[in-house]
Amino acid sequence: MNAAGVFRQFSAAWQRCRKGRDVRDRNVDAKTALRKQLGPDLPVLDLLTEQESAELQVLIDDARATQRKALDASISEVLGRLPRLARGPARKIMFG
Amino acid sequence: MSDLVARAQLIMLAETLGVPPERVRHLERLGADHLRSLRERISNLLFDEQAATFARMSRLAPLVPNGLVAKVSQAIVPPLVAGRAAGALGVDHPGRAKGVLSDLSPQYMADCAPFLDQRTVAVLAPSIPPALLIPAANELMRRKAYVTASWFLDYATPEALLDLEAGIPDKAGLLHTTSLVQSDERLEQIVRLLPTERLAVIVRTAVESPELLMAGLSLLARLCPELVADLGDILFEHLDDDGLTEVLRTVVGQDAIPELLTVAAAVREDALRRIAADPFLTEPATLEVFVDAAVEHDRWEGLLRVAEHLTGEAEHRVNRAVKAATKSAGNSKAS
Repeated sequence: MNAAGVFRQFSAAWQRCRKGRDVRDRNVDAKTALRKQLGPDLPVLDLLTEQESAELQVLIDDARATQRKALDASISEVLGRLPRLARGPARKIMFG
Repeated sequence: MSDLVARAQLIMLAETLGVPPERVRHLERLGADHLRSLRERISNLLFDEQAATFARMSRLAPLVPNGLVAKVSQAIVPPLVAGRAAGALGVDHPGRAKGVLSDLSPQYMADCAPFLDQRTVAVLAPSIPPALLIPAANELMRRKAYVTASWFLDYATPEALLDLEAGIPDKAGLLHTTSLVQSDERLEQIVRLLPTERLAVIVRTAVESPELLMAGLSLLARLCPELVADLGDILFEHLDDDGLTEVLRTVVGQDAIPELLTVAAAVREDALRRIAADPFLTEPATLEVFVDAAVEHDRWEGLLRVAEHLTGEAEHRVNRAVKAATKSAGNSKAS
């Protein structure tokens, strides 16, 4: 194998290694982030694997996004259905 | 038998996250208590991050009459949002909760129920007349949404519990629901509250299907011995000999021997005599799985009480198995 081949092999191995480390780092971060979000005094978090913590973090983030979106959409719709006279004050209350 | 309460908590966790239960099924191993604490923290996070929005919505309340709130909500507000907001608004305007609820359809209330903030339900529950909740409770029973219905039992006042029991004709649904109440202490409070003749009707439904039997045994196995004896006797008295054999077959098939042995440790002599005389129980293969379950789950008391009424070969088999198990336990202790 020439020098270029050796370099390509080394480079591919390095990338694989980095990718693995990235995943591990992200998982570690997820567990820490989960603890930060849900509170440090939650023993169940010690029982979760790194992978489970990461997956749970994704599910929580999705649930938060879905809730925010649904709430925003509903507020707009509800305001549109209020009696005309109430709409102005209601918008002011909701959006300042 | 898998832990029904843990499974209920898993379903509630999935509902909180808005995903099918399969997505979090692998977390069932955490057990009911840990799943509950995890779900509560996630639920609190979801509610608390919208607290400011709910507070602003609450300030809108004086501008909108009850009838309009109910009409507009049902027409355009998805249950996820209505359920999330309802608790906060209800706590801020407790005088209006009754009025709004009475204008909502039971179907919509049942849709919103899984999304309510349990912290606010605890505050509001005592002030809501049960008559307003009974139609929604019946709707939850119709949908077999026992998990959602079960957590209302955590917060209902004694009067409301009695009214709900009286207002829900689906007693099998009530058995399912009650078996999913998470705390053993609360479960016992509920059972003690209901008059015996009304409890008996609920307990007797346990023989109607394998699922109900599992719910019934799971419930009984969590009560104190005195209550297990009373309710266990009601259950066994209700069974004829063929019915008892069917129950024992289901118990073996559904892996619920530990629960049955817990019940056997408390029921009275008549029930024990009948269990011991059952032809299915005295088959060698059945006795073997009962002994294995007693060893694995440490349910010796129930097995020994049944064994006192065994005769002939069945008695010898169990005695031999007990001696072998005791010897093996002694050896492992010594080593």
